Amino acid sequence: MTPIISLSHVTYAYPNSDVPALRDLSLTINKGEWVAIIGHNGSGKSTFAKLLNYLLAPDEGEITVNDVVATEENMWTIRDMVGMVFQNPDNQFVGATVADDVAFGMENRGVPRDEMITRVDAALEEVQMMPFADREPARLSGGQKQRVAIASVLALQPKILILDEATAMLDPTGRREMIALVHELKAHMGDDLTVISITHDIDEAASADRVMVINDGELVETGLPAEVFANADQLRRFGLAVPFAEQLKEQLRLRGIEVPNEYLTTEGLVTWLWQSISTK
Amino acid sequence: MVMAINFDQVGFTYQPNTPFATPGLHDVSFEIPEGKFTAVIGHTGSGKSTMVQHLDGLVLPTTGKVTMGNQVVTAETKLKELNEMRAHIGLVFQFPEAQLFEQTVLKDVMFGPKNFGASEEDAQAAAEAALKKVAISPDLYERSPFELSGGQMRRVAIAGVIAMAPDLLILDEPTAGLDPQGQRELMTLFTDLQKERQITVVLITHQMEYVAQYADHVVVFEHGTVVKSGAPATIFADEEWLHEKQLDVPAAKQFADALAEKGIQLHNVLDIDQLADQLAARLNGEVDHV
Ligand SMILES: Nc1ncnc2c1ncn2[C@@H]1O[C@H](COP(=O)(O)OP(=O)(O)O)[C@@H](O)[C@H]1O
Ligand SMILES: Nc1ncnc2c1ncn2[C@@H]1O[C@H](COP(=O)(O)OP(=O)(O)O)[C@@H](O)[C@H]1O
Ligand SMILES: [Mg+2]
Ligand SMILES: [Mg+2]
Repeated sequence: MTPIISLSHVTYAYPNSDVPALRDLSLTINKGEWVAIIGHNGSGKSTFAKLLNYLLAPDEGEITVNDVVATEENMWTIRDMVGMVFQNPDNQFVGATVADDVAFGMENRGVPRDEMITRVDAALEEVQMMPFADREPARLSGGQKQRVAIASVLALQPKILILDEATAMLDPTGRREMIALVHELKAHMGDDLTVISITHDIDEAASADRVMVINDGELVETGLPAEVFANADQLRRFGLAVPFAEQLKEQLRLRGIEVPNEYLTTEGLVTWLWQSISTK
Repeated sequence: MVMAINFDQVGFTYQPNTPFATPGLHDVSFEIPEGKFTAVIGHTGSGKSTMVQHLDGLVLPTTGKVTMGNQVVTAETKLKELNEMRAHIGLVFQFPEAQLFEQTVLKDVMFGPKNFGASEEDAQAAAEAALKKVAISPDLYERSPFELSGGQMRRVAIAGVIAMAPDLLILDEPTAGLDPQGQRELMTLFTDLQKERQITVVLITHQMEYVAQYADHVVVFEHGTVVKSGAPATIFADEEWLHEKQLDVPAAKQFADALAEKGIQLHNVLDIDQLADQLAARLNGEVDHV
């Protein structure tokens, strides 16, 4: 496993604030990993994302992305490697058509025209939005807009894709489709794409290889989704959602039923209940 | 104030008589019971937001009529006639924080009451009470609303509507984009308000847990029209229909359905307590006679 992102003792406070938004943050993310970041509103998740993209510079500590140290000098190298998609699909469009929009970032970076056309097509193909290439972005659904936003990022061939609550505004169908899309991208690009998804959606976080919990500016937990989501008390303490199967286990315990301690998915708990009831 | 609401064969077209004409609603007929909590569900683009804009007199039906209390609204109604009625109606738009505009939080929340004729003192009292309800502390009153977090901005925008003490409170996806705790707190606030003031609440949401937990009545939209309405238990009972409409169901119901596929049949499961009670009975070897 090769690290692609490392933070060492990073602290950041906004200029108008005396409390740091992130405190003494040290962590490593490996090349090709899909990491979910969870934490209540205001815990510092977006600040973390902005530091990775050098939209903000750390007050203390050091950040390296793909062996490049995040400094003002390396700012553009860093930004080319780290692509971001934000929460509100409506604030991310500049082009008159979907294809223009995807081309925009490349125009700014002086990518030659032929190359640009190839990349626009490839990126739209990747997010299954090719049939919409000539449409007006404003007329797309929320989920389609987010696909286009991802295509615009992919066209710049980043090494890291950050989704900052990119599914938060979508309806359940749009959300499921986005998660499926990230699975497909990962299947295609393998270790060439590292994904960081900041989310409140348990299904999205459970799809990741690893989950990190940020609480009030500090990294308080890192683990497999099964480890992090099995700890209902801790999730509640951090103001986070508890998976349904874990909630049900708690309710059964309260009713005097002995349930397995280890983490169970919905399917896992259904199977356990079925077996237990069948043998009654 | 009587605020029973009835839609009778309502149709609505965006930009009618232009090349851009888009159908928003067609053949919409349903009722919203007075003093109850009604949930409106359906896929994105099914017409939910277009429907609630009729309730606030923001748009007039292109065809058909909407009756609210003793006010009848048709294509011919003059918007001015609706001013009196609008003073009793509060609409929280989708992403209401986009509409904050005053210099301070307190002024923003006072705007509504003042606009409908309250004195400075009354408006301030109403604003402070509403801010307290949404848990915005007094040290934020003089801040610019734009210096708040997303969740705080949403609360301030909601306080602006609550401050007008509406008899009909309409909430268009009020919790979208908030963290789980923020969502729970707002839902508790809305149900408390509904009970305390006996007002009519109309909530648009994709979260079926809330529908199962809080709603007295559910209206389902699809492709610009109402395809079903009734009590939550009725709406979520018809599995085949829900599946055909690709509607989500509450997590507890999903879980019960997964058990049913394995041959374990439970009855009328909408929330986690009903699920846990029945499962505990089975696991304790009690025979279930429901
Ligand atoms: N531009 C800003 N100026 C001052 N404080 C900010 C700014 N942006 C965010 N903050 C504060 O920094 C903290 C972390 O915010 P953020 O990283 O946006 O959290 P999250 O993304 O987890 O919701 C919060 O307390 C927030 O109020
Ligand atoms: N301002 C508008 N102009 C034209 N068409 C619109 C406008 N707002 C909504 N529509 C269309 O009306 C239909 C219903 O939309 P809407 O009421 O917003 O649905 P929902 O709130 O259920 O997602 C959709 O086809 C949508 O594209
Ligand atoms: Mg954020
Ligand atoms: Mg809507």
